[in-house]
Order: sequence, then structure tokens, then C-alpha cells
Amino acid sequence: MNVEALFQPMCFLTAALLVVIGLYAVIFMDNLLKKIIGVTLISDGVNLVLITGGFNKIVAIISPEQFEEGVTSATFEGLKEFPEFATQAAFPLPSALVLTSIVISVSIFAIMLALAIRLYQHYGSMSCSVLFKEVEE
Amino acid sequence: MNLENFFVPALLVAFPLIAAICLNFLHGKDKAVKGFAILSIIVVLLLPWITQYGIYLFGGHPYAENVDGTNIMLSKLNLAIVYNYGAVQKIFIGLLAFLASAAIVVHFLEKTSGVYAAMIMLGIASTSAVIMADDVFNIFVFLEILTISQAALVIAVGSIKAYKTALKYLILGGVAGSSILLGIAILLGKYGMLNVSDLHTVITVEFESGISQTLIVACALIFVGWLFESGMVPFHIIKSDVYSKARPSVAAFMQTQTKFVLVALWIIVLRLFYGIPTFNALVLGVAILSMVFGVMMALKQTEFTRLLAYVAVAQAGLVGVGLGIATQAAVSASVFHAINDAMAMAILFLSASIVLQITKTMDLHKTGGLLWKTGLVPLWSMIGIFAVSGMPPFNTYQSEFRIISAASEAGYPELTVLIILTSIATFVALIKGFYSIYLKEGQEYLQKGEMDKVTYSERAEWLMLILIAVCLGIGLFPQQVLEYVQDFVITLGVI
Repeated sequence: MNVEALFQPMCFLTAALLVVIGLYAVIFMDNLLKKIIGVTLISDGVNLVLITGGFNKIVAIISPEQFEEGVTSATFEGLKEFPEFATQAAFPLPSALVLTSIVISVSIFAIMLALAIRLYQHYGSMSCSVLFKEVEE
Repeated sequence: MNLENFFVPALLVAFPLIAAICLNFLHGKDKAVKGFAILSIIVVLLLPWITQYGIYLFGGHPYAENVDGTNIMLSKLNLAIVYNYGAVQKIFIGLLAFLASAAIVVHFLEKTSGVYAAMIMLGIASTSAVIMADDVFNIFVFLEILTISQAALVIAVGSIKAYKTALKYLILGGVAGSSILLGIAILLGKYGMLNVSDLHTVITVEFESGISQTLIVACALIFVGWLFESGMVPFHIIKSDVYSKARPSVAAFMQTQTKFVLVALWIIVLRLFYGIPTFNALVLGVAILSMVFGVMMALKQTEFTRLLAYVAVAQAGLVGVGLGIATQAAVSASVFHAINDAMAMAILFLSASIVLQITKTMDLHKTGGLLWKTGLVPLWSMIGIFAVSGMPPFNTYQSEFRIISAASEAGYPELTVLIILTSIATFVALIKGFYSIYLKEGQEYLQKGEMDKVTYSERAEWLMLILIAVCLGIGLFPQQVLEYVQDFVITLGVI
């Protein structure tokens, strides 16, 4: 069985699972903390989709010094010359995007937790049925 | 130093961001916060007028040649952050800056929180970026920042109800943001690029051979994000909740942000997915629902800011109706209405700010008797009601009339009836609020003090006057704004 070929589909499957579990937590869980964790799970799932989309088998590149020394792709297994490397290397853009996305998720997570603490101090409960019981006028 | 090269569109985003960081550090030092906030307001108000028009890009790889022997996917594509700044963007950002300044100035005599002023600045930066940006990821980032800043402005009220609203808004915002990001991830995976213009070119070519399922999924995911950011059904309740829990002067700013983001994001979505046949029908459907639900909910409200919040949602729905009709005339009228209604609604939110200062409540059962106690504020409020309801000679009459004409021309006569009914219902809902605040018999809070006249922020009244003058000016000379809007719509190239 080719494990490498399964890597990307498994990542996508994990991402889908994270999103589904997160959505379940947000919609059906009564505990506020679980809802907040659900939001972060969805966000993590989407980040995993992004990073997996840009994934490619890592390949090395020949440095100019190595090239001058006569090293070619035939010398070592897995060593690529630049044109081949450029077509096979991991797409770097998703990694940059995911970093930004993680920072945003953490910020939102922090504010949500801070609000949850304030609500817990006031109501003494994390249950949404208690916190949001009052009928809004 | 060449000043022409200094006042670039990126400054419209960078300056408020830097100001927000500085204001955050100054938190707790009241005089320093006030001084820096005033300085920032002046710069933010001036910047849109002195910034050069044009397309500005930075931080990318501007059209590099292919490396010999490779087929690097992005070598011929522009990966830079691109900002597009024209006359319509100038009007949007100029109005935003004015209303952001209003949100700070109205409460200037109170102890000003550095974080509060910072969040206002963050709101300007993020909305300006969404309005100008030409790449989907940049838009996603700033939409998230916008959600955080709006939630923080609600939190600034400091009540438990405000905390609950902010938390709900952040949870839904987190899910909607993830939905947009997943749509972007699909686009990135399929086309390997994020720039909207580049994506538009590639997708247009692809449409000739049919629409792929992947594109439809990406469209659906980004569409969910658009619904949340524009406060359309099913997110109209949380959006109106956010407006009503925030300070009224801040709500004036927020509803402007929402309307401009609605238009800006719709333009992006349209440029990417215009070939999907049901797209416009879907936009039209949710816009009609938002308009109808908004105005129906407004009619039954007993709290003034909540009433205004639902009217704002209904008016956003009306903007969406024009966009959903998707003819050149309808889209021009819609963009025009977004500008007009943002101003008209701001008049009413500022009047609510004055009422709240006096009565300390927005409950229409507890208010009353302010007609002869608040100078000319009732008159300005009534003018605001006329403006929001689309009555001549105000600017919203010009835009609503154009949306109705465009709907009729596009073969939707039933929509024209619905829009007129919505305007009437809006007027009725607002008049109910006006009666409860100004015409009904005086309540306890007035009798206790035995005052002939109550004190309130005259700054808010002056701001209302400025907005009324602009509304009237645009109402009498609509072409002064409309011609820029029409040119802008033509340059979109997809309608």
C-alpha cells in the first residue's frame, strides 16, 4: 500500500471531520466552552484544507555551489535540478496564508474566552440554556 | 520628496492601523488618548481627499518572466496586495471616516477609552481595505478584523447583554469567516492564485467550457460569508442585535460599514461567479427576505435602537435587491442607495444618541415628552425619518426611485410594489418611534428634575445637521454622485 499517496486524502478527511465535529459542537452543544472549541475546530479544519492543498513531496534543490562541483540530480536520489524542483516543490502561498489565519483565529478565540469568563462570573454557569435564557425584549 | 507618491491608497489602511496601535498603548491616559484621537480623526478625514486615484500594489512579484525551462504557476501572475482606489471608494471611505469621527466626537467629554478609539480606527482600516482590496485573502483577513472590532465596540458598552451579543456575534463570525476561508482555499487549490482580477480572467475562460462543481461549492461558501457580513437573512437578527446593543453613535458607523462591505464583497463575488446562473436569483431572494423581515421586525419593536437596527437591516436588503436585479441601472442605483441610506440612517442613530443621553433608556414605553425640551432635535429627527423613508427632496428618494425604475425595466413589476410597501412600513415604524419619544406625555425622568430644557450633546446635533445638508444636497443634485457610481459600475465589466 502506498502510504504517500494516502497522505493527502487522509489530511482532507481529517479536515472534514474537524469541520463536522466543530459544526456539531456549535449547533448542538449546550456548554459555551464546547461551542467556542467548536469554532476553533472548524477554523483548524479549514487551515488543514489550505495547508494540504499546497502540500507536495519535499524535494531538495541543488545549490549553485553544488552545481559547480558537478552535482546533478542523477548523483543523489531525491535531488532535483531547479526546473524540476520548481514544478514539484510545495506551494508556499498556503503556508503563509495559514499563519495569518491562525493569528486571527487565536485573537477571536481569546476574546470569546474572555467574554465566557465574564459571563461565568455573572451567571455561575457555562450552560447556554442558562446564559441565554432571558427573552430579549 | 514627491508627495504624490506618498499619499497612496495603502495609507488609508496603514494610518488607521498605526493609530489604533498607538491609541491602544495610550489606554488609561485620558488627555493623551483624546489628543491623539483628535489628531487621528483629522488625518483620517483628510486622507481620502488627498490620496491619488489608481491601482496600487505592493509586496508581490510584479509580472516576472517565466524562469527558463520551468512552468512555475505564478510567475506571470501578480501575487501582490492590490488596492484599487477611485471616486466611489473615495466617497465610501470619506463617509466612513466622517461617521467614525462622529462616534468619537459625540462622547468626547466622557472619559475616552484608548481601546474604544482604537477599535473605531481598526473599523476604518478594515472596511477601507475591504472596499479597495483586489485579492480574496486580503479581504478575508480584514473581514475578520472588522468582526473583531465590531464585537469590541459592543463590548465597550460594558453590560452583560452587550457581552452576550458580542459573544454570539463572534461565534457566528468565526463560522462565517471559516466558510469564506474554505471558499478561498478551494479557489487557491483549483487556480493557484488569489488576485480577483486574475481569477476573473481565468474563470471567464473556464466558463466557456462549462461551470465546474468546485466553483459552485466555492461560490456557496463565500456566499455564506457575504450573508453574515451584510446582515442578510438568516443573520439579520444577530446584526440588528449588534447595532442595538452598541452605542447609537457607534451603530451609525457600524451600519455604514455593513452597507459598504455588502457592496464591496458582492462586487468580488459577482466578478468571480457571475457565470453561475442561479447566483443573481439567490442574491435577489435573500435581499427580498431581508427587506421584508427587517421592516416587519421594525414594526413590532418597543426599543428605539432596535427599531432603527431592523430598519437598517431592511434598507441593506433594499440595496441587495438592486444588486440582485443585476442590470447596470439597478446596480448603480443600489450602490447610490448604500451611500444615501448610510447617511440618512446615521441621522436617526445620532438622534437616538441624544435621546439616550437624556432618558438613559431606549424603551419606547418609558420615553416621551421630549418635543419642547430638546430644541430643534425633533425637527432634525423628523427630517431624518423623511430621508430614510425615501421622501423627496432627499437623496434616498433619488436612489429608491431609481431602484424601482430599474426593477420595473428588468421585468420585476411586483418588486416595485414591494419596495413601495417597504418604504411605507419603514415610515410607519419610524413615526411610531418618533411619537413615543417626542409626542407622548412626559415621563418620570423629566418630572423629577423639573427642567424646562434638558442637556444633551450639541456636537451630535451639529453632526446631524451636516448629514441633513449633505442628504438634501445629493437629493437636489444627484448627478454629482451618481455619475461616479455609474462609471464605476461600467468598469466592473460583468454587468
